Amino acid sequence: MAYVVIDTLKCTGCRICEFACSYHRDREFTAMSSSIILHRTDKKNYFGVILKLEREIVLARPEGEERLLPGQQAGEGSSGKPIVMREHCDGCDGEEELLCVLFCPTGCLQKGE
Amino acid sequence: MDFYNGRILVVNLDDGTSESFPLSEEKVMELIGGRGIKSFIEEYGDDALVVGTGVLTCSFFPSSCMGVISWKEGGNIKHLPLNWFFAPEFKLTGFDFLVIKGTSPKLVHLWIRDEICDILDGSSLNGLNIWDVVDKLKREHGDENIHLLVAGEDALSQDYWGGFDSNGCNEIFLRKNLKAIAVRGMGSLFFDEGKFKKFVELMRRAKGEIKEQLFNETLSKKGDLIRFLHRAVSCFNCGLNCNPFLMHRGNPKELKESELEEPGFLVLNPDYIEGSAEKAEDNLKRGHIPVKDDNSIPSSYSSFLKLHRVEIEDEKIFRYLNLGVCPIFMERIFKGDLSVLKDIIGNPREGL
Repeated sequence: MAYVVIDTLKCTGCRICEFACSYHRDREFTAMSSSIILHRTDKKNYFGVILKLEREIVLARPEGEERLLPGQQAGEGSSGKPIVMREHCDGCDGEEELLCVLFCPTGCLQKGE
Repeated sequence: MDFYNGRILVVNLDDGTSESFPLSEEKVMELIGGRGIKSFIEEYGDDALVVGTGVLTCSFFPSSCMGVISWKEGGNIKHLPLNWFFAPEFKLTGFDFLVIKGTSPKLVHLWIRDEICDILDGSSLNGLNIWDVVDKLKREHGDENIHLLVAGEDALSQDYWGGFDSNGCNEIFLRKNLKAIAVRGMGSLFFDEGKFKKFVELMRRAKGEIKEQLFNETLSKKGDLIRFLHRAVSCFNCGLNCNPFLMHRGNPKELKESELEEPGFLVLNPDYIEGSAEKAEDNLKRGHIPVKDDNSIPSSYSSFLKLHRVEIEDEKIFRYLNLGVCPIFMERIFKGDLSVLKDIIGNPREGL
């Protein structure tokens, strides 16, 4: 299965990855069904990406990546629908390529080899 | 209807009511055809303030962050471009256009989400600065991810970070007794698979061109403030990070979350910077823009475009706003070629 590699410092917070992922799920333009969400604390300009995998949650913070098991405290806010209630990344099963990687304009998201 | 929800929200502040109406296919063709948001003012009267999204606002089209506020004053129609995140968030509430008529007898704010709109008492917001209003409404509505337009001393602000309101939109908000509009979009928009494939082609083409770091241009005439650069940020669905965050308290090279509540500010518009970082932050908090004009397209926005080497006539800027795409992205990446949109929304040159 293809997987996503995150270079957080390349992220500029545009959020299109959430919509690309949701489009893979529902064929709709929404952020509500993605396995990936942008976490942002506006006034501190602190932002990074949270990705739900099958057995763990990746917190791609600017200062480094952390992997949590379900149930562990992330200390993060949620985006309308918490990450734990979302489906895990399936590597864009059935698509020609990873949609979040395709639409990420900065190269923050790359396909892992 | 592809790209649009098909709903117009009309708020009447005179009697505190709101209704929604269908957005017809004919109206959409008018919008794409070039008359754009102006037609709403003709339809709803000179008193109407219209917040509009473009056909491609909130789509896979790169730079689809743009919206526009339009109003009529002194016989002329004026427009305030919106970048950042407000317009896409608004479109995901289930509405495409917001028409605000009348004047409220007391200070209010609008809270729009899930195809509903509440007109809420704003008396507790009276006297608060922009940042305090944003903090308070995010807290009260229980969601960090809402986006807001907030009236300040003389300039309308997008979230904490100001905007381009040098041509008097803020004055209309104050006149209507409207302190803020808060939106949270959890809806969906639709388009067919053929259009998605076209978006994929355009994204592949654009990605090869996105190489520049435009925050340098944003700060180019602002002395040595670049020393405070933390991380530069994009508007919705854009890879051109025009917006530098200046961390003038603490260490801008520090990557972990700052322990300070307010370590700095984002520069959406360098006109807010007058000399020092402290002064710029004060302007943002007050909702004060140091530039004033009476233009149809605010001079502050035109000069922002020029700073990014985009010199186009107002009519073309207006065209991009109606399409919902950023003039900087369209001119720098797609070289101003509107025909790239042809397979997605028809021929947008018609009506120009």
